[in-house]
Amino acid sequence: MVELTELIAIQRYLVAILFLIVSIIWYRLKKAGIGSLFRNISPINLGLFLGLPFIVSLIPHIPRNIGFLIESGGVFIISLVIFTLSFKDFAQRDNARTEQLLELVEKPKHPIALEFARKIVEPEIKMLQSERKKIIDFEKEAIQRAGNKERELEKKIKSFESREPEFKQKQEHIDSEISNIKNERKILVGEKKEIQDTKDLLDDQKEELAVAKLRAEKSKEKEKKWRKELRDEKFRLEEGFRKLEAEKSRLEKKEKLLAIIDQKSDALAKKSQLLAKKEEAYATRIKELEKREEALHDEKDESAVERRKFELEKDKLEESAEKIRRKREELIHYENSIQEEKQKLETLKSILRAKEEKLEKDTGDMLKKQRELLEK
Amino acid sequence: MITEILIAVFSILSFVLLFYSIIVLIKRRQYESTRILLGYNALVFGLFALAVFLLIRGVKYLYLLLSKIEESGLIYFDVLSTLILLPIVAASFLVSMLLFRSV
Repeated sequence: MVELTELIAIQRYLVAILFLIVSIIWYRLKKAGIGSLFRNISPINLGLFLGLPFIVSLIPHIPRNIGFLIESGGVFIISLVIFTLSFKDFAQRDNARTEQLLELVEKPKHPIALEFARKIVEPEIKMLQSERKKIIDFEKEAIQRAGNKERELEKKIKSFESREPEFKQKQEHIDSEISNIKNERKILVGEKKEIQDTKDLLDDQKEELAVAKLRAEKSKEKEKKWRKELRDEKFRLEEGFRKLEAEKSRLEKKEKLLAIIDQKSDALAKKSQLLAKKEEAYATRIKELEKREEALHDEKDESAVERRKFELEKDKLEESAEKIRRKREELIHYENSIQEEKQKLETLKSILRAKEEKLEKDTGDMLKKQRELLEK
Repeated sequence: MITEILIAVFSILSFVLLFYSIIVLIKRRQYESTRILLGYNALVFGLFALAVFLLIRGVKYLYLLLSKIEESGLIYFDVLSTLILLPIVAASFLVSMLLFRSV
């Protein structure tokens, strides 16, 4: 934004410089005598004078708004002057021209009017006359052509009228021909339908034959395939048979081995029976142990319950012991305070006793003194 | 406020006056020399650009008065008028002078 305002300010200065250059050039041209080329030079002078407010507004120490006001006011005044001058000039020239034209009307033998008539109006009139001639000729030609055509048409109409009965006969003949053609067409349509039906039938049969042929071909191919498969199967079976024989001899060897293994397995079975008995014995013992364990678990649960009860009682007892201990401490504290009070009382007693003894002594002394006084 | 109103009124009135003056100046053009005619045309074009410049300025100040926007918000009016149209005015005047000189 700041850059734009700066640019605008710079542009205003540049424009002012351009206006100055323009005014200098115009001043020089005027000195050289350019004014003689124009009928009225004042609008051009004033037009160039419009640059002055823009130059004035750029004078420093003038506030921006005032500068704009000067600019606008100056432009307004100058444009007002241009307007009045140009209108005045235009009105003057217009009046002079109308006067000249009126003169031409009033004086028909005015040299300008005669020249105008000879040079401009006469050729125009000649041209118009030739055009008129051309148009008249064209009209005549056109009327002639139209008459000829009318006559030709009348002739044609007459010839048509003379041939009318012939046309009627031909029309009737054509109508009868059309009805015949229609009948034949109906018959042909019926025949066409029949042919179409037979054709459809033949097509169906043809399709069936094609299907049957296809089936036969397929079955033939299948047969070929089966034969091939059978041959392959036979070959495979023979090979299998050979393999089976070899397997049989191998199995016989294995059977012998199996017999030996059976003997060994019998011995193993006996051992396994013994083992099973031992396992049973172990199982019974394990069951007993489990029962014992369960009993122990039950006992354990009971003892846990009792232990819980015991812990609760223990807690209660501990609480009561705590209470007792607190009470005991309180009692001890109370006892101590009583002891202190006792000691205080004893000290007070001893003080009282001392004071009593002193009083007794004092009273004894006083009584002695009283007696002595009475004796005296 | 008053200065802004005056600027707007002066600008609009100047635009109207210049516009009518341009019409009259076009009507009474001279045809004696092509160069003079061209120079005259360039001068008239410059006056026309000045008229448009004044119209834009008038519209800007009217807008400023009616809408109460700050002047900085209407910078584009200044861009169009001062940055573009005013140089066109000066340049066309200069061209017309150069054409007159070449006669």
